[in-house]
Amino acid sequence: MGALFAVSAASIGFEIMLTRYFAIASWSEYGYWVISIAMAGYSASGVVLSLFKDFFFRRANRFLFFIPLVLPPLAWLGFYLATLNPFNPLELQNPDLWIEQFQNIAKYYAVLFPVFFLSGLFISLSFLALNNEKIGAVYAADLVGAGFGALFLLAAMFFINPFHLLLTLLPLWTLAALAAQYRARFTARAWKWSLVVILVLAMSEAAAVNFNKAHFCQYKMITPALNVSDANVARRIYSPYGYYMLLENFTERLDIDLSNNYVLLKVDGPPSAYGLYLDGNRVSSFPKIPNPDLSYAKGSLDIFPYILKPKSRALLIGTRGGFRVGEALKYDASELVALESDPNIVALMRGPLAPNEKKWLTNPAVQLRRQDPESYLAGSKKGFDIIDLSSEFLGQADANKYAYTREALQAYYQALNPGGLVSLPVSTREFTVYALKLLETAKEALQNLGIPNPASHLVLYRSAWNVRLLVSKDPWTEDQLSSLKSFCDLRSFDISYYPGIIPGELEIFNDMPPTVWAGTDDQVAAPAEASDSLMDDSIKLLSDQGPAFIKSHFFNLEPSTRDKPFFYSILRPEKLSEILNNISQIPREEIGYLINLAVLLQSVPWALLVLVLPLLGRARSAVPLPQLGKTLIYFSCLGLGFLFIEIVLIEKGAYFLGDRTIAFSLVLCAMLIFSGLGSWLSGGFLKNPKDGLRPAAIALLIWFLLSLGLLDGVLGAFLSWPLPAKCVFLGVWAALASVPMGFFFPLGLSRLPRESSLIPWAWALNGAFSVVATPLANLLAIGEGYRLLILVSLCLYGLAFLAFPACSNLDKSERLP
Amino acid sequence: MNQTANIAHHQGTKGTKNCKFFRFLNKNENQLFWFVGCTWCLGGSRFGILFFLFLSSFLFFPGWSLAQSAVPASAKSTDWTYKKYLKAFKKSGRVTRLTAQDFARVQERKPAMMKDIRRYLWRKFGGGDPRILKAFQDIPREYFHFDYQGGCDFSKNAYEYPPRTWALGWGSALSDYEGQAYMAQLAHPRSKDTVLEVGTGSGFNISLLSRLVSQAYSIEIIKPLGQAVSHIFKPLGYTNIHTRVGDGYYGWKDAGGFDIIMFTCVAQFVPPPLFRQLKPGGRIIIPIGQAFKHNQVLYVYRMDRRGRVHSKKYIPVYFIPMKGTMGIAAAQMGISIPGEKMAKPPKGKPAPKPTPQSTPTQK
Repeated sequence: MGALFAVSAASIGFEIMLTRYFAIASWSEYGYWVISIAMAGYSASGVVLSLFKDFFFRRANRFLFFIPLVLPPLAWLGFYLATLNPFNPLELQNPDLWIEQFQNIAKYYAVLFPVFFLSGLFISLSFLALNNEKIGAVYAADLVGAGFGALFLLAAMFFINPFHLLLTLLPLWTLAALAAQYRARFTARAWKWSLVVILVLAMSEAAAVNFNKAHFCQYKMITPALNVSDANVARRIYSPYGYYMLLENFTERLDIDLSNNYVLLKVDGPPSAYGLYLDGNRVSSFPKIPNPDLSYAKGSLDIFPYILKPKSRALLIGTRGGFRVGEALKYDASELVALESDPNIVALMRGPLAPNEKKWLTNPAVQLRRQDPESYLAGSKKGFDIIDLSSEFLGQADANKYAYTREALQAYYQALNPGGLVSLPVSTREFTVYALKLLETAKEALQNLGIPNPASHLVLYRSAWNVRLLVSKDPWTEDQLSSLKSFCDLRSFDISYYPGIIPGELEIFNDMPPTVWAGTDDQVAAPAEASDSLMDDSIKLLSDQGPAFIKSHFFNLEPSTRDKPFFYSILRPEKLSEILNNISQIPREEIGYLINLAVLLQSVPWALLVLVLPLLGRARSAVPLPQLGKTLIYFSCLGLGFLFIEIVLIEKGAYFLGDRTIAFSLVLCAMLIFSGLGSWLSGGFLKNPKDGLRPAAIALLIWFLLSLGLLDGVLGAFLSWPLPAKCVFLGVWAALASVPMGFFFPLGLSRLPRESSLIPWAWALNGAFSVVATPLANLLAIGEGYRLLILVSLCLYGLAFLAFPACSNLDKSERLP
Repeated sequence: MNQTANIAHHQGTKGTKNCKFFRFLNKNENQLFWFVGCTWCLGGSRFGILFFLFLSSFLFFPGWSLAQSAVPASAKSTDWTYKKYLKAFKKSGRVTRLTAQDFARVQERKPAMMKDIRRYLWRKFGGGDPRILKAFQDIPREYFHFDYQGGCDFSKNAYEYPPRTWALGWGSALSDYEGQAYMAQLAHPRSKDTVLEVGTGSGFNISLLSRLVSQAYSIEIIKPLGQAVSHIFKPLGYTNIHTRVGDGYYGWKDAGGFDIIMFTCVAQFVPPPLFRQLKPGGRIIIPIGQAFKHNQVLYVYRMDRRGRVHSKKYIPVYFIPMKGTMGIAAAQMGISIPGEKMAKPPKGKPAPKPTPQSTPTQK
C-alpha cells in the first residue's frame, strides 16, 4: 500500500503541475484539457484491465514494480514533448486555423495520456491485487496519497520554478518502485533491481534538468517585455498563486487609462514603473522611485470621484501597486483603506518596494490590508465617501470576480456615507457588452435595496477603451452632473448615461458603434457620424423596457451573483452556432465556456465507450444484468457526485476566503484525506456493507440539506472572521461531507465478485464520469448556479445509495471475507 | 508564369485543382494533341483552320489570353525572379529553403491574392485604392515570410488562401493580407505623407506604406527581431524606410512630424509624444485585439482644432463607402473584377445605406 500511496501522490502532483504549466504556457482555462486527459487515462486503464484482467492479474506483482519504474522517464518524456507542442490558443478563435490547433490538442493527449494510463493501471491493479486485503484501507491509501501529493506539490510551488516542478515528483514514483520491489519478490537480485531503480531516477532527473523546453506562451505580454534591450528581472516569486516576475525595462510604465488631451491638460504621460507579471500576464505596476510624479492623474479616467468629493474617506479595492494610494492622497483624500487580495502584491509593497511606497504607506491616514472587499466591509463599522475599484482588480485573481456580483454592489452601497459614490471600472476595448452587464447588476442591486428609481443614482462615463460606472448613494444633482460634464469635456471623455440624458445633447469624442455580427455576404454600413451605442443601450436598459431589452438581447446580460459569480459569461447556449460563426470577435475570457463545452462533447462518447467496451468482454457473462446495471449506476453516480461537491466547495471557499488558491488547496486536501479516512473506517463494515452505507448516506443527506438551506447564510455571517478561522471552518465543512462520501466507493467495490473484471470496470466508470463531471459542473454552474450542483449531487448520491450493488445472486464464497 | 491558368485562379490555391485542365493544355505534348485534334475535327476547312489558329493563340501567345484582359495592366507581375529573390534574401542576412519550383508555385497564387484583396476592399470600402493595390502587387510578400526566432523562412506559404496570420517569433506576427489592406486603406496614405509605425514585426506593413508615402519610419521594441528586420529593406531597393530598435513611446523626434502613426498598443493609454509628433490633420491608427483572430478592431485618433482628441472605432464587418478622389481614381484606372462592375454593390444585395444599427437582438 505504500507504493499505492506514492503513485497516487505522484499522479495527482503531475496533474496539478500540468495545470500550472498550461496556465503559464497557455491560459488557465486550457487546464481543463489536462484534467480531461488525466481522467481519460485513468478510465482507459480500467477498461484495459477489465478486458485483460487475467493477463494482468497473473503478473500483478511484476506490473506493480515495473509501472512505477518506467513512470519517471515516461513522465519526463511526456512533459518534454508537451513543451515542444506548438499549440497556439489564439488560433482556436480563427475558424481557418483551428483545425491545426485541435490537432495540437490531440498531440497533448498522445504524449500525456500514457502517464495517466499507467498510473491508473497501477491503482486499479492494486485494487484488484489487494482486494483480498482490506479494500477500505487500500482505497484510503489511494485517497490519502493523492491528498498528500497535492499538499506536497503546493508546498514545492513556494520554492521551485513551475517549469521544474517535475523534478520533485519523479522520486515519488521511484519510492513506489522500491516499495513494490519487495512485493515482487525480487529478493534474489534485490540490490541489483534497487540499483536499476535509482539509476532510472537519476537519468530521468538529469533529462528533466537538461531537456526542458517549457516557456511562457509567446503571445502573452511578458514575451516582448523579456526581449527588449535592457530587460531585467528585478524579482521572481514562486507561489501556488502563480509565477510572478517583476520586470524593469524601458517599456514598463504605469498602465492607466488617460485622456489624450495632453496638450490641453498640460500633463505628461504616466511614469516609468516596474511591471508585475503573473503567469506571463501583466497584473500591476509598482513605483520604481520614491515620490514619483503623479501629475498624470489629472488626465486619468478614475480620478473624477476625488475631484467631486475632496477630503473623502475612501476604500480602494486594488491599489495598482500603490499608485492609486498616491493619486487619492494627491486629490486630498482624508483617509484611505487600501485592499489587495493577492498576498504577493502586498508582500512586494511592504517588502522590497517599501522604500518607493514609503510616503504613502507610512502615512497614518492610510491602511493597507490583505483582504477581499466583502469580508472587509462585513466587519467594518465606518462608512465611506468613495468606494473605488481598480481596473486591474478583476484580472488579478479568479476570486476577485466576487467583487462584481450583485451582492457585492449591495454591500458597497450600504457601506456608503450619505452623498457617497461607488466607482466601478469595466473595459470596453473589444467588447462593449460588459458595461451593460455591470449596469444591469447595479440596477438590480439598487432595486433589491428598495431604491425606487435606480436610474437616478447611476452615471456612466468613458474613454475610448474603458467605462466607469458611478453609483451614488443619493440621486445625482445638477451640480454634480455639471461638474462631470466639464470634467469629461476637457478630457475628451464621453458620458454615456446620466439621469435625464438627451441623446445628441453632448458631443461624442469617442465613437462606439454597435457590435454587429455579419455573415461573409452581409454588408452592414458603418454609422456615418460618431455614435454611442452604449448610450442607446443604457437608456433602454434603465427604462421601463429594460426587462424586455435584457431578455431579448443576444448576449446574456443577467447580473453575476454570489451563486453565479461569473463576470465573463455572456454567451447564450442557444446561440451557439452564431457564436461559433463569429468566434473571432469573442473576447478570450469567454472561451472557457466553449472549452468546457468541447471537453464535455468529447468526454461523453468516451464515457459511453468505457461503459460498453468491458461489457463486450468476459465481465458480463459472469454477472447478471441487473447487477451490471446497478454497478454502472452506482459508480457513475459516485464519479459525478464527488467532483460536483468538490467544485462547489472550492468555489464557495474562494468566495468565503477571498482566495481561490487557498480554497483549492484546502478543499482538495481535506476532501481527499477525509474521504480516505472514511474509506478506512468503511473497512469495519465489509461483512455488512449496508450497515455502514446507511449511516453514511444519512449523514451525507443532512450535510446536503444544510448546505442547500444554510451554507450561503452561514458563509455570509462568518465573512468577517479572520482568515485562519475561516480556513478551519471550511476544512471542517469539507470533512463533514468527505468522511461519509469515503464510505461509498470501497463498500461498493466490496460487493463485486472478488478478483472479477467488474472491479477495474468500476474504476474505469468512476474515472470516465469524472471526465464528464468537470465540464458539466462548470456549464451547469454558469447556467444555473452552484446551488443546482449541490442539488444534483444530492440526487446522484441518493441514486447511488438506491443502486448499491447486491450480491444476492452470487455465491457467498465469491464475496470478500 | 502561366497566364492561361489565371482564368481558373479565382480562389487562389483553392482554385489550383480547377486549373489542371489548363495546365494539361499547356504541356507541349498536349498542345500537339490539341493541334492535331482540332485540325482533324474541323476537316481541314479554311474556317476550321482559322478557328483553330484563333484558339491556339491562347496557348502559344499568352499575352492575347482572356485571362490577361481580366488583370489590369498595373497588376501584372514585375520582373521579380527567383534569382532576384535569392539575391535579396542573401543580402538581408537570412537563409531561404525555397526552391525554384516552389517559387514558381508561389507566384502562381499571387493573382488570386490580388483578386481576394480587391474583393475584400470592395466589400469594406466600396472599392480598393488603386495605389494600395499596386503596392500589394509590387511587393514580394513571400520575402517577408520568415520566422526570426526559429531562423527559417516559410515563403512557401505566401499568398495563401484563406488569408491568415503567421508567427514570426517572440510573439510577433505577420498579419493576414486582408487585414493589412484594410488598415492601409483606412489610413489613406498620400504620396507626400510621412509615416511612423511602432511595431515593425515582419516589415511588410512598413514596406507597403513606403510605396505609398514619402518617408516611412518604423520602431521595433523587440531587439533580436528589430535588428534582423532592419536589413531586409535595402535589398529590395526600399530606400525611404528608416528603422531602429528601441522605445516607441517617444516616437521619432528627428523626423519632423508624421501624417500617419500606426501603433501596436497593449497599454491603456496612447503615449503623449506621439500626439505631439502628429502633424495637423494627422491620424494615429491603433489595432486592438489579437492578430490571430480575424477582424481586429481599429481605432483612429485625430486631434481637432481645439486640441481635443477624437477617436473612431472601425470594426471590419462594417461596410464603409469609398469617397472622393479614391473612388474617382479607381474608376479612371478601370479597375474591375470579372463579373463585377464598379460603383455597384456586390451581387444580390441592394446598396446599403449608412444608418446606425441597433444592438443585435434575438430572432
